[in-house]
Amino acid sequence: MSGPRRDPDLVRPYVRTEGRVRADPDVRLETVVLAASGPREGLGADARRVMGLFAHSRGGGLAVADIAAALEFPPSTVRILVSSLIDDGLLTRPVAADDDRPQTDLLQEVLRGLRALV
Amino acid sequence: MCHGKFVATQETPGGTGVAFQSVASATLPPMTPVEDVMTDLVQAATVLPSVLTLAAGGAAWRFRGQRRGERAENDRLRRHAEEIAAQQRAAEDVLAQLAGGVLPRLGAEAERSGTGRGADIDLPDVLVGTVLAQRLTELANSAAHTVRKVQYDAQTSTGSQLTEVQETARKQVEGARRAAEESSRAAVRAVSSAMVGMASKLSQRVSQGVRRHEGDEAYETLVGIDHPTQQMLLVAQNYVVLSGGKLSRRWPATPMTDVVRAAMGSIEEYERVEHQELTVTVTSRAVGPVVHALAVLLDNAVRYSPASSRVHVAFQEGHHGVSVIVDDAGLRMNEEQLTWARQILTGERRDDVNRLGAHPQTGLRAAAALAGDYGFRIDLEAPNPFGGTRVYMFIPKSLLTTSPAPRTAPPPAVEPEPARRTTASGLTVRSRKTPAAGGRTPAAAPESPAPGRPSVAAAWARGTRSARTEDPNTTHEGALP
Repeated sequence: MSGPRRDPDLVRPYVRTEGRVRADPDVRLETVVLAASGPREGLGADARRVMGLFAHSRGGGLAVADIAAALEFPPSTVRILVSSLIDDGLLTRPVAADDDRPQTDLLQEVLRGLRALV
Repeated sequence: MCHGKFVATQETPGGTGVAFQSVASATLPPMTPVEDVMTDLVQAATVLPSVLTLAAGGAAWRFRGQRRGERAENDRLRRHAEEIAAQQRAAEDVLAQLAGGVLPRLGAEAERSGTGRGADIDLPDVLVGTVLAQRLTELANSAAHTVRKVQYDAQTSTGSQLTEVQETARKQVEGARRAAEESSRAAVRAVSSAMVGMASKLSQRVSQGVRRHEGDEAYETLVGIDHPTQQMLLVAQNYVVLSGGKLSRRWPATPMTDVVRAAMGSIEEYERVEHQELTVTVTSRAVGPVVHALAVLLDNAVRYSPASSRVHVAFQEGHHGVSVIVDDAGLRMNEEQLTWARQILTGERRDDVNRLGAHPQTGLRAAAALAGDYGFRIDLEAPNPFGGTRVYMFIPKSLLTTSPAPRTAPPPAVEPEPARRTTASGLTVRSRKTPAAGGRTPAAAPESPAPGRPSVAAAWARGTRSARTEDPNTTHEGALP
């Protein structure tokens, strides 16, 4: 949207994270997470938005950066949101056999998904 | 021979003096001239002595009579003089009465501004019916009339002058008051607008910073700055609204859920607010005012309820619009407070910035003013099911849009980004048209680099990919448009 410089965040980041300011240090931008279950009742609006993205990922994982880009949220906010969802058992980090580097085809998939979103 | 005689008229009660009357009579017989001479000679010789004696006696008698007349005349004159003297004394008395009693009394009556009638003077009997008495009475009445006329004129002219002066003074006071109010309103507006401007800018910078720096420390610090900034904006905007200004920030059409969450961002202890969700969207024009008013209501609810209690926000969709219902479990307001708050919120009392009193409840007044200006309604009821207060905010259909909020495309970056930044996790964030300064990043491609945008994800994807390939420069994906 054009127009004068506008604050992109009508909803402030601390409201989105419900006051949580620290992400799990293991949840980084490139961390890929998987949906452990479908969206659940009683989730916050942003948590539901995050979970909603996994509906389109055909069971695949999404990196935190993907989520941030898709939702246009600040990356730190998404790190905290994802950390909370992991704490709640809704997201998991795949236990990678060879460290936790994502697969190339997975990334390709992510990229295609992102392009589809854009 | 002629006799003149004057007759003293009987004094009449109405008369003032004496009237003179003269009577003349002539009694001589006619005679022939010869006979006359002869008889005269004869008669003269014989008659003369007796005539002489007669004449002498007659003269004596006449003289005595004349003396008696003079005495009577003297008596009459004396009486007359006495009478005049009495009248004069009476006149002096009356004059003294006029000077010593009647006229001063008229003066006193004039000072008392009472109503008097004619001048009352006591006329002595001797003066009753005299011209003098008439003149004196006229004099006294004339004096009384003059005094009263002067008194009346003085009163009316004083009265009208006083009214005029009062009117002028009232106008001047009114003018001065209006000028003072206008200038204080202008001052408040100037200060609060400037504060809103600066706080908005700060808020934007924080937003950009939060997107740019995703290190935990930086994030925590920025959020720590952001929260008070939003509260400051709320306060400053209250004063802008109350001093007749407008909310300057514009927002896109926003769903109710995010309207509530935007409002939560401006208050302390926003974590205590629990809200329902609603996708009904508020029109762009109304987002700012509705968010502001709701923030004020939430702030009030959170502030005046126990720290352990929750504030609930629910929505009720109706035929004519949406009601936002804010419930707190706060202290129950007494009747007086409730009436006062309701009067403020429903706009029955529109106090401006000059009449805020010692404890200005600027928030509620600003919310009411915004509601009035934009056409939504706020009402209040207590107690609610939690024993606290319930506030309704009714947003009419005209401020709502059925179409979902347009999914905002990433806004074009307006400010050049720093040359090269690294995320906390060591990831390179690429910048538009900026050659890699350190040589670590591969050739740059034109792209929109705002952090948190799809392009960042693309950059990340490229980065991770190149990290796993032998030659980092060979397998680049084309830059995203």
